[in-house]
Amino acid sequence: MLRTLVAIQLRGVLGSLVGRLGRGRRNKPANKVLVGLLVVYVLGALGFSLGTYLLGMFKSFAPLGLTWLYYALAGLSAFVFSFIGSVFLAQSTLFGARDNELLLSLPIPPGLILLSRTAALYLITLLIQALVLLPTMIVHLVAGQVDGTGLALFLLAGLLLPLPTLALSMLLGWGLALISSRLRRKNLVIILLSFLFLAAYLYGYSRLMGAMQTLIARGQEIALALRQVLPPAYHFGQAAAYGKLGSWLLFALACLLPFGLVMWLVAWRYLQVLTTQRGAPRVLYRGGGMKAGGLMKALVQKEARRFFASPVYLMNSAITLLLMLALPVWLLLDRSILALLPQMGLEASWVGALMVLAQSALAGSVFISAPSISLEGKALWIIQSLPVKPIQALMAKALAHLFISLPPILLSGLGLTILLRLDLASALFLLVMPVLANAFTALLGVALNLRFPKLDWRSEMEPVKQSMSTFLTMTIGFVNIGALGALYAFWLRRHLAIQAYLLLCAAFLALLCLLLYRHLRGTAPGALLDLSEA
Amino acid sequence: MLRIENLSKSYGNKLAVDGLSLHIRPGEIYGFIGHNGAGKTTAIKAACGILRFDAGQIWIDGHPVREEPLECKRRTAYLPDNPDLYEFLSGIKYLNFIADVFGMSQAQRKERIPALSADFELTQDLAQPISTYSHGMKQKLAVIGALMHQPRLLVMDEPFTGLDPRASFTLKQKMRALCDAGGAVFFSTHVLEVAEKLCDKVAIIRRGRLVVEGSMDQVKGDESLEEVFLELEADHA
Repeated sequence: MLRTLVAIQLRGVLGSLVGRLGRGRRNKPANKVLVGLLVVYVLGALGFSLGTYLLGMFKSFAPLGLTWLYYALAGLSAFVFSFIGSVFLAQSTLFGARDNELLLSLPIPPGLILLSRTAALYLITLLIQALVLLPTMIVHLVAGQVDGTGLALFLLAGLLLPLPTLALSMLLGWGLALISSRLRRKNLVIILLSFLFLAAYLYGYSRLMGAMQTLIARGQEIALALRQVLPPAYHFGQAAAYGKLGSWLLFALACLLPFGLVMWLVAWRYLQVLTTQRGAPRVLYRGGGMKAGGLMKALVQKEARRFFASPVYLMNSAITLLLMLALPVWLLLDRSILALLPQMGLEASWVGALMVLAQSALAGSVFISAPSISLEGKALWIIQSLPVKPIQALMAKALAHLFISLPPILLSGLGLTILLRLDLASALFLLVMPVLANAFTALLGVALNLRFPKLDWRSEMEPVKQSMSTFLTMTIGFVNIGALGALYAFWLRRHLAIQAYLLLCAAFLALLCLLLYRHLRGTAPGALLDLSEA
Repeated sequence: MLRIENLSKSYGNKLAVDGLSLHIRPGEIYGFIGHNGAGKTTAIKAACGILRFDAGQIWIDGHPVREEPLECKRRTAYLPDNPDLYEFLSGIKYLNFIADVFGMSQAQRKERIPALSADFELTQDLAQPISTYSHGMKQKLAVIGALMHQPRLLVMDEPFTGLDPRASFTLKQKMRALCDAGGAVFFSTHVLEVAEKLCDKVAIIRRGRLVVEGSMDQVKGDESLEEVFLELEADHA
C-alpha cells in the first residue's frame, strides 16, 4: 500500500514539474527537444555560476588542508537553499492537500499517508539540494584529487542531507497548519509570519555571508569554531573529503535522529490536525459590492485578488520584490556598505549600472504570472465560457503581475537613487530597466504556463513551486540579465560606454516583450481551448 | 437558438461524439440524456465554445461558434456539472466579476443580484468566501451567475445535482421563464423524471451517436421516459 501511495505522490510531483510535456496536440518531437535544450541551458547556467563560486572556495581552502570545510560549507549551503519555502511546501503537502479527505476516508492508516507525503517532500528536497551538491562534487573532481571512499560517502551523505531540512520544515509546517485551523484571518497572519520568517532568514543569511568572508581570511580558526558549533557539518565535510566512515556514521545519526523524532511526533497528532476544522464565524451580507467596472479591470483585479489571498503564491512568486524593498532599507541602516563604494574605485556610472543590473535581475525573477493559468485549476471553465478574448484573459495575468510588481520596483529604485546619489541617466535606467525585465517575465510566465499547464493540482504549492513554468520563468528572467551583464563585462566593455550598453539592453528587453506579446496573440485562442484537454 | 450539425469529437483514438445533429428552437427546454461517458458533456462543452471539435458546425442564435465565439458566448450561459468557482472571492465579488465581464450596468446589478440571490436563498451568504460554501451553495451561486446577465441560451450539465428541493424548483421556474421570454434551455440530466416533466424536447445519445430525438410525446409515447431509455439502451447494446 505504501508503494502505491508513494507512487501517487511522486507522480504528482513529477507531473507538476513536466506538466503536459508528454501529452497534448502540440506534443511534437521538435518541441520536446527544444524544451529539453531549454532545461539543459537553464540547469547549465545555474551549475556554471554556482560552480564558479564553489571553485573559488575550493581553491581557497584546499591548499590550507581544509577540503573538509569546503564540503561542510557546501552542505550547509544546500541545507539553507532547500529550506527556503520548504515550510510552506511541508504545510501544504502534509496538512493542506486537497486529497486528504479522500485518503482519510479509505482504509489507510494516517501514518502511511504521512509517510507517503514525506517521501514526495524528500524527493523534492533532494532535487533542490542536488543543484548545490552536484557542482560541489564536480568542482572537486576537476580541481583536485578525489578520494574514492570520500566520493561514495559524500553521495550517501547527500541522500541523508534532506532529512534535517524535512524535520525542521515539518515542525514549522505543523505550526502553520495549527494557526490556519484556529484563525479567521489566517492568510494575513500567515503572510505576517512569513515576513518575520523571511526577515530572520535574511538577517541570518547576511550574517553567514559576513562569516564566509571571515572564513576565507581566517580559515583555520573558523574551521575549529565550526567543528565545535556545528558538528554535523564538520562530520559531513570529514566524510566527504577524506572518506572517514566514523564521521559519516555520526553525520547519519545527526540526520536520522531528529528526523525520526519529528516523524514520530507529527504522526502522533497527524489525524487530529487533519480533521480539525474549526471554521470562521459567518459574515452576513448587508448589501453593496455591486460597483460596475470594465472588463480588463475585472480580469486584472481577479488575478490580483487570487495573488493576495494565497500566502503560498505571494511568498513564493514575489519574494524578490520583498528583497528589492529591503535593499534600500538595509543600505540606509548599514551605511558602511555605502562608505565602501568609493574605496572600490568604481566610477559613479558603474555603481549605477551594477545597481541597474542587480535590480533588473531581481525584478526579472518575479514569477507571479508563471503559475497563473495553472492556478485556474478546475475553475478554468469560467474564463473559457465567458465572452472574453483569450488574449485579454492572458494579458490580464501579465498585467496583474506587472501592477503588483511596479510599486516595489519603483520605490526601491527611487530609494537607491537617493541613497547612492545617482546621476539622472542612471536613475532613469534604474527605474526603466527593472520594469522592462519584469514585463518580460510577466509575458514569459504566461507563455511558459500555456506550454506547461498543471490544472489538476491537489495543493497550490504544486503549480506555484513545483512546476516547470515557474522554474523556467524565474531562472530565465534572472539568467537573462546575468548574461547581459557578463556579455558587457567580458567583451563589450572595450567597445561601448556602459550607459549606451544599458540603452541597448533596454531596447533588447522591450523587443523581447514585443515578440512575446505577438507570440501570445498568435497562440492564445487555440492554446486556451487546448487547456480543456490538458 | 442552438443548431448542431454533424458534430464529431474524438480524444485520441476514442470517438466521443460521432456526427451529432440537434436543433433547439427559441422557447424550448431541451433535455439531453445518455449513460455515463455517452458524450453529453463533450457535446455541451463544444456547444459553448470551450472545447475544440474535429468536424461539424455549431450555431448559436445564427452565429457560428468556431468563427464568432465571443458573439455566441455573449448570448449563452454555461453551467458545468461540478461548479468549481473562484474560491478566493466572496459570493458577491464573484457575481460582480461576472457582471463586469458581461458589461452589466450598476442599475441592472442592483436589480438582478438581490432578486436572484433571494430566489435561491443565498443573500446572507454573499459576503462569505466561496471556499466556505457547500457544494449546493456553489451550485446556487453558479446558477445566479449564469442567469444574471439574462442569456438567450442556457446550457447546463446536470444542473440539479447538489441543489436542495426548493432551489431545484426555483431553477425549473427560471428555466421556463427564460423560454417564455424567447430564450432556450439545453441541459443534460440523469434524472429522467425531471426531464419528462420539464422538457419540451429530448434527445438520447449513446456512445456519441444520437439514438432518438423529438418532442417528449414523440419519444416516449405511452411509456415513461425511463422505460424508453432502458429499452433503447438494450436495443443498442
